[in-house]
Amino acid sequence: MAKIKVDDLIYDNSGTDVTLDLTTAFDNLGKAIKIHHFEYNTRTGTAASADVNHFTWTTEFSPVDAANNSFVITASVPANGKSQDWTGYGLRFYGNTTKDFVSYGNFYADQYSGYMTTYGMHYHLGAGALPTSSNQTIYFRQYTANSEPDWFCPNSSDNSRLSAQTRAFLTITEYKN
Amino acid sequence: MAYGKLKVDTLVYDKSGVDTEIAVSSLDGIAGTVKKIHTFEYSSRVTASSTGGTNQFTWTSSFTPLDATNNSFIFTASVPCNGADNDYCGFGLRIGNQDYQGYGVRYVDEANLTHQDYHFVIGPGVLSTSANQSIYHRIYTNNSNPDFYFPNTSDDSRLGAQTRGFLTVIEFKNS
Repeated sequence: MAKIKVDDLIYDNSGTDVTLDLTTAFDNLGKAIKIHHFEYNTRTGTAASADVNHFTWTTEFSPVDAANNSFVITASVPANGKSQDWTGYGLRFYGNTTKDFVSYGNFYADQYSGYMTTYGMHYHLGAGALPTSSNQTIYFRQYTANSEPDWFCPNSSDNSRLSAQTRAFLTITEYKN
Repeated sequence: MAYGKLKVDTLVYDKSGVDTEIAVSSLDGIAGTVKKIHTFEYSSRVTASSTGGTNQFTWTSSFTPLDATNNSFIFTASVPCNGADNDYCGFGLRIGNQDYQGYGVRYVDEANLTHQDYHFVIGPGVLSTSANQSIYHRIYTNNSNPDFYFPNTSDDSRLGAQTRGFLTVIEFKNS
């Protein structure tokens, strides 16, 4: 590993010397460090009990640097409803520590059994909020009893208008301003 | 100048045992697409007003774009609500002195848990360039309100915790 200390690089541009000031050259680099993304596309039954992991988004979430970076978390989760007036759900991150985010940025609307609804979310977390280890598990978790739908990710067996298997997506944008 | 200058057109570095070249000219003016991610959170239960033209709550009073003249913006929010069974709602964001009613709004008519949020894009040269702008969640027409924004266990124990709303503003410029 060879190193050289230098403040400026000078390169040739069609016969003209152009100076690149390394102290400022990278100030406008992108702020998004990595976009992690996960998909779940299996019709999944539910339980009514409190503190149930309904499904697993991934067992391999590895933040680049959770101690210093921030995160924007967005999910779309289609569901076949269950007439639940209210719901308490969110994500559990399980790594070298366990972090729960119940009712963070949820968007849900009560629908009857047999009717389509959504268990989505959008929120952001600052540096130090998530576990720092590699290969974390992320669960979609219900925290309070009777917060579940009949089915997550319904398909044509729920209604023929769902002519394809519905799919849920979780995107986690890791960034540092 | 502590370290001086180096005249060179190409740098060569070791990448897992393979010499890899990079042109210095390609580093000049290098810039990412995302310039800044502005983030705001609201986590207090708010009693809504049914009167049109009302700012229901304030996301921030210190929104400062880096460069509103040249950059674009993606606004995305989550706003959980205890609904008021209003069939239709005219709502949106007031940013500085500009209104974005009905821009990318997401709402479902409910008397219980629902949401009143948005996802939309604003191009360059539209937003004010000033610093410390206020951003309000605003209803524009009568009876466009829920009962409460950001409900908690006083609305129903199943919520399990104080609900929280988030507004994310991604400031970007494509190459």
